[in-house]
Amino acid sequence: MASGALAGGGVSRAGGWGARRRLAKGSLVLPAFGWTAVFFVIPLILLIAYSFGHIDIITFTVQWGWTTRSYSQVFQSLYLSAIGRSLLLSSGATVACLLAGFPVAYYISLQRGRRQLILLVAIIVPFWTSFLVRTYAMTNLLNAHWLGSGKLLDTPFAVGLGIFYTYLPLMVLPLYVALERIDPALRESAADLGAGGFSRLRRVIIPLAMPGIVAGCILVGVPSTGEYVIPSILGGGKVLMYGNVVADQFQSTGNYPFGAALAVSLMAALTVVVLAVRRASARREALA
Amino acid sequence: MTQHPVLPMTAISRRDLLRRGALAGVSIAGLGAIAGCGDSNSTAPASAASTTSAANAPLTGHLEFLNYPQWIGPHEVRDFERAHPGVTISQNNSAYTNSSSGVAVTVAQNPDQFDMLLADGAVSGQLLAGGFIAHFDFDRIPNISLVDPHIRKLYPFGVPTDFGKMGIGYRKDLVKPAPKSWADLWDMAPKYKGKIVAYNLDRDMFGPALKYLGYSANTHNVAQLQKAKHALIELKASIKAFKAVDIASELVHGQAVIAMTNDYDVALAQTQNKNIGWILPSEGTSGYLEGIAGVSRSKHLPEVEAFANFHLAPANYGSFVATTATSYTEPRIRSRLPKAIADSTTIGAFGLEKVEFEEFLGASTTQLITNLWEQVQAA
Amino acid sequence: MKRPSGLAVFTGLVLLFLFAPIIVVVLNAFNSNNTLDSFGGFTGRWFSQAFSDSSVRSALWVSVRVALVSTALSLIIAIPASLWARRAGRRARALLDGTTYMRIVLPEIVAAAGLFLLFRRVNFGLGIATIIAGHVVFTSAYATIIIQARVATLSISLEEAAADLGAVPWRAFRRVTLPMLRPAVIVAGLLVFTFSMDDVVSSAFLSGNTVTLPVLIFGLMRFHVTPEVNAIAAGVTVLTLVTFSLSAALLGLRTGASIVVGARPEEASS
Repeated sequence: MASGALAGGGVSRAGGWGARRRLAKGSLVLPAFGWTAVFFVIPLILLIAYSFGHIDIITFTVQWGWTTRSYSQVFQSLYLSAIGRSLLLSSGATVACLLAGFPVAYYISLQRGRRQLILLVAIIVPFWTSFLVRTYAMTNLLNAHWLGSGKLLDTPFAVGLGIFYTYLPLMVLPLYVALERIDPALRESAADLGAGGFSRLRRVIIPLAMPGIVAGCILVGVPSTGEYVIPSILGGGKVLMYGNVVADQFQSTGNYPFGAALAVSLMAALTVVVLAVRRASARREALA
Repeated sequence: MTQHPVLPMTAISRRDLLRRGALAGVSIAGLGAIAGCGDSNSTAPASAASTTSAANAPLTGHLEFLNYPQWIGPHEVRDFERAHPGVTISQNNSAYTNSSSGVAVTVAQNPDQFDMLLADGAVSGQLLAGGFIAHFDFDRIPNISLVDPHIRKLYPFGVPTDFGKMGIGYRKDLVKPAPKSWADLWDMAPKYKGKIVAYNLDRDMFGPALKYLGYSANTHNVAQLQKAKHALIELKASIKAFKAVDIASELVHGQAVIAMTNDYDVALAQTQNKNIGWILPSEGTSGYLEGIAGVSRSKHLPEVEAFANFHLAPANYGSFVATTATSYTEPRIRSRLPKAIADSTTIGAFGLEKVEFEEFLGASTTQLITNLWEQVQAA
Repeated sequence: MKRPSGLAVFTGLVLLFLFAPIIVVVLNAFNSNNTLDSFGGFTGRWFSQAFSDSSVRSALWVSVRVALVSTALSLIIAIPASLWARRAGRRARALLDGTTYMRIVLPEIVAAAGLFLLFRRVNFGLGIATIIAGHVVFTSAYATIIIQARVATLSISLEEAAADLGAVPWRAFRRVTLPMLRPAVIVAGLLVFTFSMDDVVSSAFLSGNTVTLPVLIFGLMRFHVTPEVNAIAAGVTVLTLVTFSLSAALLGLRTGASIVVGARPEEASS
């Protein structure tokens, strides 16, 4: 099948030659699958394996086994506050990104020509800028006189603001792409907010843009739940998020099984959420 | 609970420790007074003569030193490398996270990576239990004789370089009345909400909390530790930030008015602002006694010993203390220190009878304390 | 439009919010007042201090090497995979898309922790090689998405024509496909280079003794907030602008922008 296309019209190279060509073509994807298998899939499997094991942190010997002790530790109320805080901050920041990003994406999609290009560049440049620099820029902002000279720094709010600020471009881009695909006439009539435009927005545009909304929310919400750098810089040691707890197990406590259990739980939870969201959105599209 | 060999230190009863601590206090302050002679030139160049040890083979190799950030004289490494061409030292600060046992973990999980480290009693105990501490040949470290003998006994793992204790630094002009105890701190915290900074290290914060509640800083009792956790969460509401370094420096310009931190930190700030006071709380406090220990798997133990010896040489050790303002283990070094540090009543052996040095508490309690501290941070 | 609509104003404010803090960081890098509570006049002092710091220089050099190798590997992974995906079966392509998507969306800390365990398990020393391994996991995913989006717009007929004329597949690739892919490859390469230069999480876990620039900066930001940090941050920002401008110069702004925007990770695994 695959080799048929390249064999071109007329000359049919059947049998071995075709098979060899298929093999050669398959090898194109070998680096990708190979790298993913070795450096992505195997580590995840290792995490799962460790999560059911036990480690002696004095001598650092690992005992494999099938104990769920690490998992029960995760679900003790002791850690639920870190988990809850992470979910709250990342979902709050996601919603904020959506509320701020949608109008911006919408506006850009209405523009034409050079103006649109400039606006797109204006979104891409922050996206391209070092995310460490952008997080640090928030420190500066929150230290400003007119924002309380640092009173807001080292708070959950600061961390949420940091997530919002660094992930915002990641929300705008897929939203823009989705909105671009909607019939311009529809878009512009909804922009005329006076004459029933707003309801048109709500009932027509938003459902049509839903794939972009879903994409943006996943691209922001999922990685931000495991954030590690932003709470470290903006949290003043008082705002420990899930990512920090995981990192601590590997870097401070040395309790690999517990860290692995935390990581696996996070991965499982996020996978469930993503699958559910995508299924719901696919069903909605099918019905539309 | 993991078995670990009984160390001279854990065999000492608590009363012994306090008695020796008091003696150490007397000897340090006393000897310092006797030897003091006013000249506080701490920038004397390192003398190569002080580094000669019994080693005959030329020293060579690369030493990886796991150290607390900037916990060394500014030119020590450079001077050592000059005195011993063929040896290079690089310092690694990565282990210093929010858990004091993180240092032990870093070494234990990668024992071939490091040659020496700065380790306190608790960390050293943990590493010793895992077989990671090297046995020093003290014949090659003649400068060890400069260290107060009582301190030497308390730290058998390597060369003891410094110790410290947790306490309360505060702005005398901005905080009234002055706190005298941990209970005072907890009581007055809401009044100074947002203006209190504290240390981001599990055991250093749990020690004071346990003392506040009247418990031992080295307790294994889970219920007591849980209570301490709750006390810390209560205090957290008033705290501006948990910082890993430069805690007391916030007092200098008034960004904070109370600092819950170690003595050296406050002593350094006191050299910049005369209005900063220090209190060793009446309930007692926790502290640490630390030093440079060698890692057992190091292939360059003679070089490590040479560096330890070099570090203890008066010129180098003096620059170390002058830079860090830490409580020091060599009594005679006082004459080399800048006046502000030499005369400080913050650092040094004052009140040592009220200080419990941190010990290794076994694997499960150590992990528990780190986990509880995380819960405080996440609350 | 006579006066700007509400939407325009709102967009303007958001853009201002996005840019202003970065500009302040760059300005503060020149601020001679080191407590940074007001502007005290221009100075290049922090830059010279930062640059003369040997730990900064060596970290920068480590990061550049890691980024160059990561970029090369990412492209080697992404280009053939994207070409293959065009004609691959539905299931196989879904597998590629799914794993690509996962590598981007999964929190980096999970992947980094797993890799850390892997290297510890086989006792492979942590250092530059392991950092590269960690980076390539997600940078190759970004590269794949960007190039795949571009490949999707290419018509197969050109390659078929080349094959009809007797061109060996590799020749067809080099003379026909690759030039058409060039813009996407350039954008992907520059973007991935930037991401590798910026990565903290994987680098922190997998570097052992080695220090990359972002890990160094991260440490500085957590522990000491010195004006030097501003200078380093400003330097990094300049690097960003350079790579971005480079892509704009090589491709034209419109093409570059459309490639970045057109890459759609959300379509993968659908």
